[in-house]
Amino acid sequence: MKKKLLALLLAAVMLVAMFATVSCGDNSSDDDDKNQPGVAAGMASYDVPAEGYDGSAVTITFYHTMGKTNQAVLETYIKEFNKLYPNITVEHSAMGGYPDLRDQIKTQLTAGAQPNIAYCYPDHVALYNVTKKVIPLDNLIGSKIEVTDALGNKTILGLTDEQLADFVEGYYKEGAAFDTLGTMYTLPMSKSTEALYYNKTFFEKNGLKVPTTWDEMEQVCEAIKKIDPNCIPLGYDSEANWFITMCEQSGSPYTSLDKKNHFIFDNETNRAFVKRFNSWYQKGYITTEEIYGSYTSGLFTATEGQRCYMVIGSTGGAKYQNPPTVDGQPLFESAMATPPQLDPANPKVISQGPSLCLFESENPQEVVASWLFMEFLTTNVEFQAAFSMETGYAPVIKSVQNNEVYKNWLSKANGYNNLTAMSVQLALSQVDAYFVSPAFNGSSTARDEVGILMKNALVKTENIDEAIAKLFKDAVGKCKFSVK
Amino acid sequence: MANQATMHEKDLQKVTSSQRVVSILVKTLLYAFLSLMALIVVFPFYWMIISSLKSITEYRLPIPTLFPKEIIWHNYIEAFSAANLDRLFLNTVYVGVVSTLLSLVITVLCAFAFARLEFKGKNALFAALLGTMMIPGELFTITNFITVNNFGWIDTYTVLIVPFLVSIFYIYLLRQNFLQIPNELYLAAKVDGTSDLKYLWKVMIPLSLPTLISITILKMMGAWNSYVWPRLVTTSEEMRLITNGLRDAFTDMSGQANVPVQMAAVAIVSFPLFLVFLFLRKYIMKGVSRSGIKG
Repeated sequence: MKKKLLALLLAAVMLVAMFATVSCGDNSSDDDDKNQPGVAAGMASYDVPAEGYDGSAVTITFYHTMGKTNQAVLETYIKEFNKLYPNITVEHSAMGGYPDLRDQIKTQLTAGAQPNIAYCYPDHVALYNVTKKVIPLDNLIGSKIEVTDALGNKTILGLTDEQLADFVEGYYKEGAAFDTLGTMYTLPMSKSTEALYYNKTFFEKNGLKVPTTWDEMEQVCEAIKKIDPNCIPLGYDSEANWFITMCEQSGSPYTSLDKKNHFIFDNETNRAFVKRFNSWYQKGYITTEEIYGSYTSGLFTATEGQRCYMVIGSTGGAKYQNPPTVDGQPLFESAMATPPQLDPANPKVISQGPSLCLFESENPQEVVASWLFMEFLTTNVEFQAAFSMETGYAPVIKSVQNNEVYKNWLSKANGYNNLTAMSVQLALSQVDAYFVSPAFNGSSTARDEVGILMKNALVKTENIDEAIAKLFKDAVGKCKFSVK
Repeated sequence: MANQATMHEKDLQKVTSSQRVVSILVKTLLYAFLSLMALIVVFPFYWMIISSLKSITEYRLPIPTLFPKEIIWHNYIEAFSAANLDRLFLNTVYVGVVSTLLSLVITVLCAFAFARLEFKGKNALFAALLGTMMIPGELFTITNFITVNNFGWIDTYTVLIVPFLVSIFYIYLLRQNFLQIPNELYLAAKVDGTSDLKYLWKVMIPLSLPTLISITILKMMGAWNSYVWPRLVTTSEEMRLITNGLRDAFTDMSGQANVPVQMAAVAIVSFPLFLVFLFLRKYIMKGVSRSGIKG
């Protein structure tokens, strides 16, 4: 009898716990106003302390995804920063990849244990904004409070007009892509984009023209397939980037900040370009990272068997497109160009790479100190140059291109063993073509889903129209479900 | 009659030879199956070793090679320089050894209390503890994180060791083992004036040694393989464990990993475990079969 009673009691406890968990999870109405016109995506504004930075000793934490060599550059410039602000101790930690970083901060935000500064992508910040703990930068950027550094230099806490004008506009604007008010939540740190890598030796030998439009790309693929029937002429690394870029080039909707209608990519134009690329895949013209099973640079640098002669991939991964060598001699020369466009007169290429965001802290001096460090990283010419040379990511301020060391490094770009410098040159040359997609809680799901859609659509062989329509419908359904 | 006997012998011979054929066939099929399974098990290790010796270009070939064309030993040197392997090793061994020792003490004492001592609410308490096994550990992650953060334990050895010292499963396992030891031994020891702790130390622990060894091995393996918790509660590289280090150190900013170097690091890290398995496989297999879980 006792045992039965105990069992019943335990079962009751379990049921209560289950209901409690379910009711805890049902808080979807909390953010009803978010992403509506005139409403900030997260914390609406930040009151900068009247005294600015008071020189007090503070320790700030900075989370990033840098490897060891990149960290060495960072540490060098932390020392430079400390010459200006010796009382600010910067502790930095690598948190693995971007998803690791996002998950770590997401968890820490729940406990109020977040870092002061972090690498971020717009999707991450949209997620963090749910907690309203990301500091809006507008008041810090515009602050005229005077700050005196340890060397006696007097400056303002915010950004000067020259500093603001020095940012690459497309990169800077990314920080305001979170709400219709244009609240700034991030500053750009270092950027990459997509490029068309091609086997220059093969192109020159066969008299092929580097495609600038998708129509030309189709013709070139057809020509290459005739020359080397076993090859796959083009590899596209990121299916999601491909879909989003095509939406932008077509001027057709992808996502919007309107909470009631975030996912607007199921339309005639988008279905049409997906169908077009399906036919390319069926003819053996293209493959993608997911279909091939790895980055398509593996095909581009293959020394035997099947290969490809063009890759559209990140400029941040340029070193992987360096041609293979035999006895120290490169087997061919690689080159780069802007990816194909629908309208070359109005080019559109995706902007990627990390930005920086600030998090709320109990001590306002930590926030101001973090801002000073963030400002230093994003506006210091020497750091931006050194970091770009180390990572192959483009600097976010234009004046870096006047730096002698940097100019010298760029001049050594070549298609045999220094594609990295070449990729930065290309990234810098297409700054006017950058676009960013709206960032909101659910935008990363949209990105994932269109990538899956693209991959699945390419391999369809029967009832193509119906199959593609279903894939679009499913993708929108999954996106909507994710934000319920 | 003689003719009939010969017929029987012939039949017997037939049966014996057909049995032999069936037996050989069964054995051949069995060994073929076992060899295939062994190959499937060994293949990932083989792949790890050959990948660790390839160049990045060869690793990325569309059709993978089964043996490196050119052996790149340098990957192993690079693995050491890219990841702070010695520190990661040290941290993991320290956390593994300390948490295993403390966990053993707690497990033994709890199991003894539940198996041998009499106190009010013993069964209810044990049932409640068993009930916690019904709740997946992942559910506690966030609440545990908030707790340890409030304690100020983030990024310390304490946070890597303390939260998982008590395992109800191990207590249950050992309690069942203790219950099999006859009461008479306990009573006889009591007549001789032995204290409970002395009885535990002198009688119960030696008799339950195989289970304790299994628990030790499983706990060590758990500490070595843990990923999510250490990832969450360590923020500086000095405190990271080996699994996190291996995941973090080889991916560049574009998200691409230098897989051959990463594989070299994995091979280096796997080597001690391989040795442990080689010398302790008897206990590991026993532990696995006793606990009913796979390694």
